[in-house]
Amino acid sequence: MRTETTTETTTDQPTAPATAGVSPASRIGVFARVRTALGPSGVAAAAFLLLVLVLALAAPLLAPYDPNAQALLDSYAGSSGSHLLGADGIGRDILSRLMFGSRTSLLGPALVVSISLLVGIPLALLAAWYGGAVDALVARIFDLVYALPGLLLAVLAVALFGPGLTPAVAALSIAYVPFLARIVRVAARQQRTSPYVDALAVQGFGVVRITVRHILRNIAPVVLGQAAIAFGYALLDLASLSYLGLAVQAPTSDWGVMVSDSDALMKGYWLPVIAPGVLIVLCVLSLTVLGARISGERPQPYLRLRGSRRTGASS
Amino acid sequence: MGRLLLHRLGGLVTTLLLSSVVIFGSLYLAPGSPENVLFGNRAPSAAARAAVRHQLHLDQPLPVRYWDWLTAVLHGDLGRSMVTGQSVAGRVGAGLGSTLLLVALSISLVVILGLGLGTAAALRPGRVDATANALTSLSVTVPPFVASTLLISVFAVKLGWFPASGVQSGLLGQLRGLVLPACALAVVSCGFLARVTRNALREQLDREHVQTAQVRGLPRRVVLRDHVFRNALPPIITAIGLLTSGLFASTLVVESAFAVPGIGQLTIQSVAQKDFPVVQAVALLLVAAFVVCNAVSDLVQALIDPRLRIVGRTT
Amino acid sequence: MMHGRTPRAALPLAALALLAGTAVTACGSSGGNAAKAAPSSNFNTAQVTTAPGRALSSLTWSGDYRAPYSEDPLKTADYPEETILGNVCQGVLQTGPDYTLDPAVAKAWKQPDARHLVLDLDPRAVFSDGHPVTADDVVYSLLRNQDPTVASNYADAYHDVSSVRATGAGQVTVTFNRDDYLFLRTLGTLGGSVVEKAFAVGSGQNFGNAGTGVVCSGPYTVASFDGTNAMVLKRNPRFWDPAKAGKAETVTFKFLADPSALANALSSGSLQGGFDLPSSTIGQLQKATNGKLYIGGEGSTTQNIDLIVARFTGGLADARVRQALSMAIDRKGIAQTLFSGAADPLYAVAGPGFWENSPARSDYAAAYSALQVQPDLANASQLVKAAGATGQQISIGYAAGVPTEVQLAQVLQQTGDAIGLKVKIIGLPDQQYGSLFIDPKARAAYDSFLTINYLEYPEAATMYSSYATKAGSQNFNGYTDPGVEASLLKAQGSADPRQRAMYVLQAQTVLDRDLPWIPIVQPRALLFQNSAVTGAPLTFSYMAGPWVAAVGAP
Repeated sequence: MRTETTTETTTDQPTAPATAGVSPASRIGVFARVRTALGPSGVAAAAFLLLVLVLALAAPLLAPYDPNAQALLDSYAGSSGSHLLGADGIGRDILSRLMFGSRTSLLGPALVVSISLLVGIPLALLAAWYGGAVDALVARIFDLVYALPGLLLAVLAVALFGPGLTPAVAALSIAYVPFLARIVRVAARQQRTSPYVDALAVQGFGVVRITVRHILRNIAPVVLGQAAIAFGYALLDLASLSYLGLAVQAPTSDWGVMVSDSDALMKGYWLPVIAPGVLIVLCVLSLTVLGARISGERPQPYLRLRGSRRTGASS
Repeated sequence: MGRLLLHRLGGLVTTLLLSSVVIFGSLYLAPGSPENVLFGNRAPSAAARAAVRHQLHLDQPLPVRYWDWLTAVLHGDLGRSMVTGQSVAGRVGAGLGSTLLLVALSISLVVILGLGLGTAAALRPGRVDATANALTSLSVTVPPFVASTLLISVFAVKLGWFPASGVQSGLLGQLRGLVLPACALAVVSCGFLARVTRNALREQLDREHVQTAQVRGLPRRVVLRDHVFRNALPPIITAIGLLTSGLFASTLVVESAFAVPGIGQLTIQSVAQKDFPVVQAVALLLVAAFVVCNAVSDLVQALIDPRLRIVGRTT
Repeated sequence: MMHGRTPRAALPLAALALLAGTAVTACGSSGGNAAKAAPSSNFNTAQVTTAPGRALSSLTWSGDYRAPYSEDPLKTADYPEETILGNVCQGVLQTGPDYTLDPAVAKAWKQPDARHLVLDLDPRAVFSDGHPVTADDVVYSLLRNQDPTVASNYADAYHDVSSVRATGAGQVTVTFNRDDYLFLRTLGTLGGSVVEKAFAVGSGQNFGNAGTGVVCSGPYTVASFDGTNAMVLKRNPRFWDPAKAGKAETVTFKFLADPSALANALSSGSLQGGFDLPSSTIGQLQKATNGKLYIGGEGSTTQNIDLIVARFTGGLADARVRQALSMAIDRKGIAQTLFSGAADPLYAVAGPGFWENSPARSDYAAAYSALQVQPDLANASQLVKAAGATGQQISIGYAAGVPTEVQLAQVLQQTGDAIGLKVKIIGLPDQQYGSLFIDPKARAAYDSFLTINYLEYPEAATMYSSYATKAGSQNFNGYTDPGVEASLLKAQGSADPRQRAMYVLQAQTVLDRDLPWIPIVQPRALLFQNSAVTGAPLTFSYMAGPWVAAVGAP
């Protein structure tokens, strides 16, 4: 698809915007640089994500209640001083459940993206470096994985291992490999053909050293940006699976599980269901905006699994 | 053209074959025996269990069962449901109508709204573009299950315009029941298509030949029709193809949310019941829908591409 | 690139505003609703049915949460099968709306002694293909329950049957190997249904499959069945008993698992009625103007929701731990909250639903009131401590697909944790949950699991025998107690209801202490009937008899 080949902005930049934080510049300088790099929307998105992250990490300290503590008398209690966002059907505090729910809701996608990157990057670099038959083989594998929708793969994995976060994460990790690896492969191939790589090769630097120290480093912004976007979509997919009752299990609180409370909806109570839904949307929105800013693109959020199926080798 | 068709067909068959092995294998390895479903809540004797297992061919090794299944399928026999004893084709056929109608309804919404919004954004820079951009940025992050609950709470619970779930009989009843699910499915894809449309049109508008045509005094309508829209079509068609295939995967979630008796729900249900032949059939159907949608969009492109190039050259 | 700046900056803010907006509206809609009025029963338990109907062309009814697995009446004993198939396959006897046994294929029956049951068949009875129902057909049909290759779901009821023989042209005699006055009731359920022998033998393993079907003698036959969404019955033109013939020309059963879809279908009229409704539908159906939601009183069904102890090793091995858990459960809270008040606390597995209309009611009621206790966390914790089980892990399996079970499991988890146990709950998909009931290996992984149990007719002795005797089909944990065993066998051999009650109550006292099953709540009858039709029973008897026959136009 045409929309994906517009990722050339960072080709020869030695330091990528996203890695700026480690430079020895003064603190104000760092912030200024991050702000310039991310733009106002990126900063807002990053701030929101940071807030969610802090709430997730500090949930035990900040949450007003134990997320599983019940008071049957408080069933569907409305918003009040004791329950800021009200209580659910068995009288659990919704705010506390949202805060604790952010932990599973973020942990799952983090795992998916990490595993996909760990598998995908070496594969993509291999394909980009050697080209030819290796490239074609990798492209074929990606094509096959693309044809199996991530959700379907996850449903089958659940049939195999029983419902739970682990099988869902495992299945989605596989499904997300091509999504992340394809971008890496395209970017790395551009690098591969650029003169500086040839120069390095002529100087006698090894393959591993060139790919890891130079190519990977130069394409890092693109990869990070794509990873952020993938994180958002993994969050969506995992929440969908939890919503279907296939991933996170009761009584653990999770945003997707909370949205699935059809009982509340039938009885006319919106908040227990809508609040986690809005949080999911905000997180994904922030991630796509941030991802696009990091990789230097306009937001192109829907590159997703159903993004381009065609890989360079087969066209 | 013929070669491309053949190539695509070959790809489809390979993908289906490989996926069928993956699906068959994973179901075989899954814990729990499918015949248990048939015994309800009272324990059968060992002899009865053995008899049923034999009848369902569950007592044979995996390769034999796979081979039997494959040869039967090639003869047009998808087998019998282990749970109801009906032909799989019959069970799948019963749900296929609803799912196809749902996807068709949804993709119509996507095309109308997505193209409209994208065109408006491309042709009217400034406020319209900005608003459209904000809308699409948000809509691409609203997952179907969150959209479902939002739509249910507003249009079914609050306003009572549409049923919250379930599909009534008759075409009118079906359509009424499918409106909300189709909207829930369409939200994400609308945003995506609008973006692709906008970017593709913008790209063409900035082209030299368009500028020239305008300078030559051709009416704006003609310029848009002959130079802008035609040339912008390929990425839009690709996007529609990808989105349609994506919609099939999302029916897994939306059909559950709205209790639509289609393929998605049948998949989830059959996985829970370990009804091997049905799962196999519906999963492959989803994979096939995915591959076919992509192939069709490629073929359509191949059909219009050469003509487009000629048009481009003459101006 | 060009116009992106403003909107992108505005976006997260707009989204935050959206969040705030929804929060406000949502708060507005749910504020101050903590105290909800429980729905009160709107019919008397003495009323067992709605007014019988007249001729009607077509009727649509809820066939419960899934399509039947088979048309063979013996294959599966569950809501969809038992709601529908009794209208197609007549029993030797039939269960009326007030649970009385009425003649069906047999016009008369008697038990000359405790070990023999003599059935006199109605000579008029014919199958839907026109062949007469013979003693041979009846013998064959009943003995199918003992055939291991059939794997009848009612096999346990035939445990004490030593022979079934034709003892005359129109006479069948059932012989028991111990005194038995409880078996008779089985003949009024699908376990006593009569099928045509020649057809069944000829169909072999395909008997009952959607394509092959069955041949029976009931007021309806199966016209079509798509295996998933709908089963259509049509009036049996050859039905032999005009007094019991169906009123509706065709009856379409649809299967909706989703409570919301079910409520919509009923309130929109696309389904004209349904039994066994989930409590979450109450709000919507009470507002429906096209029909009436009937809410029963305490004990209006024989359904009982219990925690089944899966094994007497591990966390629940010590009876004191089971007693503590039972003592701590907030049954009233559960009934009010999880079931919207359409359930009552249950203190004995065979609760009021089993004896509300029994001649021995006063005996049962007196014993039951002694069992009613308030939740007592302090004493329960003490008991756990005394048993040395503090911190002990206990696992509870439940059906992840049933919303009330999901909530109930979470409540039990908190209850257990509150008294010092460590409860782990495991939601299981349909099939895995189902295998807990039939596969000892599947059960072995859990200490306990939840059940929504029932018996088709109100007989406490049978309910208790099913899980507390050695031969009981639901004795999943191998519970055995010589006293209980002896009492229940004596109850089985007692013809007099009050004498039987005495033995049952002896067993109940022990079972309440040993708690192989921990009773939790009993749901109330919840059924909806469109005003365009009438005749549905208000009792749980729809699970046994040919109830559709009475439903017609008002």
